Amino acid sequence: MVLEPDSHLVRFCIRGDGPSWEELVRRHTRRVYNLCYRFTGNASSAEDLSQEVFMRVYRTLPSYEAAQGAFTTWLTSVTRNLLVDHYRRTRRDRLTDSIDAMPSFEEKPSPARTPDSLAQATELSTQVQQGLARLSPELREAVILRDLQGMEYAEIRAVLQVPEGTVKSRINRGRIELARILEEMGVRPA
Amino acid sequence: MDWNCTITEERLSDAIDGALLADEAAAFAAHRSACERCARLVAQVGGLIGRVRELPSIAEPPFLASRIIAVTRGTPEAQRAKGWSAWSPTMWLPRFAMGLVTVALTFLVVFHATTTGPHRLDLSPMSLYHAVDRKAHLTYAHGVKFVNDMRVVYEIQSRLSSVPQQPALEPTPTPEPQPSNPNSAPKTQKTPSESKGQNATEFASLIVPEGYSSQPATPRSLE
Repeated sequence: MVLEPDSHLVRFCIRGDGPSWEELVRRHTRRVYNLCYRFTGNASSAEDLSQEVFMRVYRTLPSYEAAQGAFTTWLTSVTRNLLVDHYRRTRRDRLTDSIDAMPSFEEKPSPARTPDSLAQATELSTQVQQGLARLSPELREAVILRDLQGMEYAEIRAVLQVPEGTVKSRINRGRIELARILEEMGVRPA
Repeated sequence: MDWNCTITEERLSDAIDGALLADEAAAFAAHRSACERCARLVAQVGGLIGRVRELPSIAEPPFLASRIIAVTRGTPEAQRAKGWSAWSPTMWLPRFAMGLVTVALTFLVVFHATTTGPHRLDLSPMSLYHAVDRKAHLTYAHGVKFVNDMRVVYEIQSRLSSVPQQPALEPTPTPEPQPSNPNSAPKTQKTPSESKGQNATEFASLIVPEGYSSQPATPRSLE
């Protein structure tokens, strides 16, 4: 079965094709949810933010132009903007609730993994999440986009709207800082 | 190429991502093999970031996509095609419903005023002036009446306070019988009820203007 490219689905959606919109949502929900979850470290917030992202996408879909870049990049930009808004909105809560700085985790790894590797992946995922929470938001989002979302530098530059040199610098510093934190937590390199 | 520890740290991500040029990669490898600290840093960061990149994605809740679709309800075109029915969920929001009721009440009041209320003639400048003028005069008249009433009340109060101090209201001493005139009928002392009657008469004379009386007026002679 050949998957319809995102740009085609978007075009169909704008013309009023409901099934195309459903396909677009189902295709990208996990990506958006993961981005939200990794950034906030909270499953409930990630759900709400994912829904908010798609509601905004739904309203602004006609403004997307395929010539300006991939739909995934545009979607990530929308998600990132909402995450930044959410971060600013909840800043006061975090300051007053610093004792609860560590988020709760509800790992739901993908199926088709052995119980041992599943347990290890879950533990490492939790540790990575804790490490990410200790990074500054700028470094955190750069590492998430690069190493957990697998985006290219040019795409990250488009999402963050900063020069490529800044993107590289943030990713580099974020990786070194995250590795130091993970080592402190007892995580061993591969 | 003069490669050092600072450059190694700065280009670490490029080395992990394989983005170094050939001569850069060679210099990087040479420095790494010569510097124990940098070798450890590269192994630590490269190894841990490698593990992070291999992490599986987290499965979203199974209902999430369906919920999103339900919330967005198809496509914008489909939403528009629904027309007025698309407004139905918004219509029952309390804020919207209250606004709707307010607008309806406003129309009702305006309609009532134009049909059964004051006619257009009543709203002319002259009519309004006369109405205001009449209202002002009535208010003034009420004020004057109130002041006069208060003046009468104060006068009555002041006179009442002065009445008990008059000697006429004091108990009259009983005159001694005249031994020289034993045949004359002895005068009887006034009873308290009679004193009260006298007081009431005096009080009536205070508040009733001269020329008026509660008793039937005796016909005056023409003399």
